[in-house]
Amino acid sequence: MFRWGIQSKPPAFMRGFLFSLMILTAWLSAAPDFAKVVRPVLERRCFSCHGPKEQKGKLRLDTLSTDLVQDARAAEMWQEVRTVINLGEMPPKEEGALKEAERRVLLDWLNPTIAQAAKQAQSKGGRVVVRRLNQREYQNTMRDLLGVDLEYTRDFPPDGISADGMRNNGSALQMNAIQLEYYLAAARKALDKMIITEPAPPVFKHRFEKSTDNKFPQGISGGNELGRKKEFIVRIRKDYPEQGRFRIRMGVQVELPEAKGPVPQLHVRVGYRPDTLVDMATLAQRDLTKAGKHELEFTGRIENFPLPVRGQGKYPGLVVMVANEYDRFGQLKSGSAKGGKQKGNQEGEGYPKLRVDWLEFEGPVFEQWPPAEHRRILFESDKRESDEAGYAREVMASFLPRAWRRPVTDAEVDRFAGFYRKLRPNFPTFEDALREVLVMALVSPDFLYLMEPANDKVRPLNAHELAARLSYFLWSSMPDATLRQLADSGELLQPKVLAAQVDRMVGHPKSQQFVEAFVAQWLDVDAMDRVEIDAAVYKTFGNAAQQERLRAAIRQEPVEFFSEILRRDLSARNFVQSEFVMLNDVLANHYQFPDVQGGAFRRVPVPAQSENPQLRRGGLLTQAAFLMGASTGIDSHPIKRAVYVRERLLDDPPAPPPPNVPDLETADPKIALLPIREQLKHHSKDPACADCHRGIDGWGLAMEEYDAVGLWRDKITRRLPSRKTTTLELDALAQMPDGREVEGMAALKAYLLEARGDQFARALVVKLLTYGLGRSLEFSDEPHVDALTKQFKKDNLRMRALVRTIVASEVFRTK
Amino acid sequence: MSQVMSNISTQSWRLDRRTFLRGAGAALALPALNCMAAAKPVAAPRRLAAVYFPFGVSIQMGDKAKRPEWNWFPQGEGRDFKFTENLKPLEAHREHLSVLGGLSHPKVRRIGGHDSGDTFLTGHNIRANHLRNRQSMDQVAAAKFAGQTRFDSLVMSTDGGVGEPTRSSTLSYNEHGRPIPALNQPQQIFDRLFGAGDADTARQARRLKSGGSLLDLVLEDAARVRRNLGKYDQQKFDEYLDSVRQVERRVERAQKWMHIPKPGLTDADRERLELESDSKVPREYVATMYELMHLAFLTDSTRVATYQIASMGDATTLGGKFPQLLGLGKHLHGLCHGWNRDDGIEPLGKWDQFLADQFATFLDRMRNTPAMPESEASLLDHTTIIYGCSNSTTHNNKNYPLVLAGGREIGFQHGQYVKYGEDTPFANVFATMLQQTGVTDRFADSTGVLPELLG
Repeated sequence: MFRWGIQSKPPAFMRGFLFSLMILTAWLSAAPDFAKVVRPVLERRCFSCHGPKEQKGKLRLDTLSTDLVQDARAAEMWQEVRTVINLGEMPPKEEGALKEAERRVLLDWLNPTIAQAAKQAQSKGGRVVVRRLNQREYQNTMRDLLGVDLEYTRDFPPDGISADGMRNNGSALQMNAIQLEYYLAAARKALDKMIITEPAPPVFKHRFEKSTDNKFPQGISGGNELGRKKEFIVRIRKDYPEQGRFRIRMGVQVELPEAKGPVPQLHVRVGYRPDTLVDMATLAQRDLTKAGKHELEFTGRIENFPLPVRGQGKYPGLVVMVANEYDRFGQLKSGSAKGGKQKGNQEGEGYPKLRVDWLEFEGPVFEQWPPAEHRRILFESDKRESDEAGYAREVMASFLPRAWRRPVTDAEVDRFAGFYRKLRPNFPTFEDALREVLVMALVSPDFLYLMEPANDKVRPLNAHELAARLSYFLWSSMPDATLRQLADSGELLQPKVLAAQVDRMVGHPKSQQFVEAFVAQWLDVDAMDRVEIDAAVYKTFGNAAQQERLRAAIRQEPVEFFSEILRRDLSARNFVQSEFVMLNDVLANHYQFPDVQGGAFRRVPVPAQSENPQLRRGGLLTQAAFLMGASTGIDSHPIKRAVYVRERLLDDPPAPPPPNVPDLETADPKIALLPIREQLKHHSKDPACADCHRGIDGWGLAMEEYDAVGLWRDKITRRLPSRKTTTLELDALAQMPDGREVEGMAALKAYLLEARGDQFARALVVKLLTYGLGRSLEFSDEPHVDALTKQFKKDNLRMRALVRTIVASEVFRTK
Repeated sequence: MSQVMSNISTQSWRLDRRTFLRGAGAALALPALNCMAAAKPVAAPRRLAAVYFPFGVSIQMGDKAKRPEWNWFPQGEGRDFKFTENLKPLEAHREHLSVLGGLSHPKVRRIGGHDSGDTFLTGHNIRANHLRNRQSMDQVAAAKFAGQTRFDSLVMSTDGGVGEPTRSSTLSYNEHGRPIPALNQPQQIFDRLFGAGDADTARQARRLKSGGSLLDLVLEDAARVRRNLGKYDQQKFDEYLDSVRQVERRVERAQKWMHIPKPGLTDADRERLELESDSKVPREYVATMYELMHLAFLTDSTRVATYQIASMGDATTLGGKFPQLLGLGKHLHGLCHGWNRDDGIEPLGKWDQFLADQFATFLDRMRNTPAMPESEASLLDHTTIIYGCSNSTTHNNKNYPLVLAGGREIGFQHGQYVKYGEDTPFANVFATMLQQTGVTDRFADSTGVLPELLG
């Protein structure tokens, strides 16, 4: 939350800003002088009870330190003073309330001073603090390092989230005994799977041309022609693996009713049947867009699927179910599909057909035994048979640099070799002992933390540290072989090589990890899951399974959208307004976009001039994930929306509301009937509230055209506390903090781009840099942010360019 | 550290969050306070147990009742009640137990009648949550008592393992809501409690030992690493060092158990055990499981125990065949479906009676054992036990047949038949049990404790 720095002037858009914003932003320059301006007010109004003569409530203000940075106790006291002023509790009634001008002076000093002290208290000297891997990073790293794709972090305690919403912030990511025990357990679990002493297990192969079960729970029947309640079901009673990878191949036939019409959606699930239910997990989902016969192949790791307990079920065996999910919930009534209501097979005119001719199951699959991941660590060596201890040392010498993401010294390898010698007599086999030695490497700080040892002086990162920082930035995982080589040779430190690596990494599928993580944290996509949608108002949310599918699509939209902008290196202006949206069939159906077939997301142009206001979309603000997350589940929540815009898009969060402020909707039942504008007016009667709300309300009111599930509306339906509904006229006219009037979403987006474009650009730099560094930004970062923003604008706000500039920046390349 | 005694040899079990070093199902366990050790606790420890049977009981209520003498619930109410045939064996322990009527888990009332077994100790609507359960009541207590005894809990069932969702063969769920595999072989349970342990134990021991030296080395290394860090990094890094030290201490304590001899048994204790008994002889088998529970409490090997006599897994299960083996005709599910058929009432009532008889024997054993050596009070007086089912009649998820027994020395007042309305969640009984054992005063959807059960 830093503003213009020492070296730069306030950007143009800041000038003439409204007061409320100033309070938050101006604390470097605009706080009134304490001795000249603030103290006299305190003297006049407060000292009589909280001064030399009396210290009511044990509070004495005349001698209270004004250096909040140095004196934490004083900071706490001043915070209390602010609260009672905000609440109007002080001075007491009989003394007469503060005059507006007096209040103003006190708050203008208190607000920025407290904020600065808080910031200072958290300072890490502008340095990246040593941080452990978060869950996502740990999961990916274990997979990439060991080659065993298990769900390692399923039971881990949740990671800490920083004040700026990030899950990769070193200060917020705590370590404790429980966490460490999980690391230990996960390492042992992985190595038990990977280091193998048993002979090759039997491989089970099955081929099915018909469903093995005809009647299944939830009214599903088995068959080759897939329909709404008809799936291809196979149950393998005994001969299936419980460990390792498995492969499913199948032959299918696709029939498409028309070109560019609806397409079948294949859904393959694996699990089992506990009596009257099924417990299944998805192996694959795919749109089949081409007619004719196809052969498909999918693989998975069987441990990651629900598995039956042998000998305990009424319907024993591993189950594979293949469905055509097209219109499973009858929700896709647009387009040419007809006959959507009928039960059973979806043979209605216009339905895309999918037939399974055969299905083969094979598992465990491995090309050799022991499997490749085992051989990568326990490689062939002359010593293997002759000299166990020597071999153990060789193994560690090759494993440690990969695990620790850096070269290791002989002394370090010796310590592991020594540990091996100590353990070996207690363990029945070489492998048993070695597992424990490998475990030790995986609970060492060099594995669990991004270690960049440095004293209190800033220093450039070495090539391996840079490779790791880069890799966790763009892949949320360890460096791959290419990065490792470039680090070994030192070439990575050359700007050109580094830039080329950024391009390679952004283009690599692993960068999806970055997109998902950054979008979730920047935009707080989780907010939508914290809102329960009222199904009585929004019927599409009535059916649990349907809602789940819709929510999944809504959640995915911002990820796909960001991905599109990054991959195509488009301008960040698209985040505010774009001429395209990213949709799949479920979401298109929700937004009422015609002719989007299939479950895969794709780019859909927004019609330039459309009769249908529903189609006026584009940018982040019209996405349901945001509109829903900042709603009450029944109606829009203009304040939440406004705070969201200021916090996430403008990096200018308003001060948190003072304690005891009621929510809008829980106020007086009479107020519940008023239009939102009147409600807000009522709410802001108190001058303490009015200050902040002037800087907030406009942002939310302009978005009133959109309801709680992100759809355009021309009337506002509101549910009253009595549970009756009332209809209100749509009113999206808003006065912005600078006094300008804006009406509706389109105008708001235009205003954002025109009046706040620079602020938005800067905010995005701040967010991305914060993520990239894994720490909160501080004052000392101001010049970096300025420089990056300048370059970002020069690059026409192209996203890839920003990623490149950040990686090349001094702040990213130093510790 | 929750050490649950259970069947890991045949299950892929999961680590729970308080567990260290693959501890979860294993036999070795944890720190400190052992009743065998020199320092004896001043007050007798408080214990908690749960026993469950599936598919409901014989209910013959109201004017249309065909055989009122076979109504599971007693006649009368309050202190003035009379046992019918079903619970007659409990008469001798009347002053040590209360019969509870009208209770159920509100969230479970609407799910399938046969799907409620998993929820007996959790109260969680698993159907609405993709078959994922929540921590069971006993494990809340086990977590609280963790480390005070060799095993944090003893989880047993006739069928063993975890079964499948809605057909669970265990009553106990860890804090992630994952089923804890139950032990079902008397010999194996005995070995873990009193014998040399098994393969799991040996592996566990090796890993505990290597875990200790592993952490030592890590700590040494980490201390070296720390010296090269700046001040903010050092502050942050100390979290790691502290964590390693804490885990190391836990391992040390865990290792100590390996050196503490397992409790010895008297010849009389041994004679009562039929370790060879299998589930084909229900009377002997169930009695042995109860006896193992009793011995586990007696030797203070654990403070928490659960036993599922049979599961909702229908005729394919071991417990499901008990009625047939007892000469009551049908498998359990079929037997329970006869609750309202002329020829079905008495066989079901006799099954209820069989269960009550077994339970009575267990109560008898608990009553005739002092809570501590030379203590006046009995083991039963320091143990609170819930006994019952999540169906009244089969498929009916309301009005659970329940008996709450024991615990007179820890505040319980008995000798009554208490009828509740549907506004009282069953979890209130758990809240009361947990409160009286010093764990917590709430559980799941509980709305309070039940003062009428307390003296």
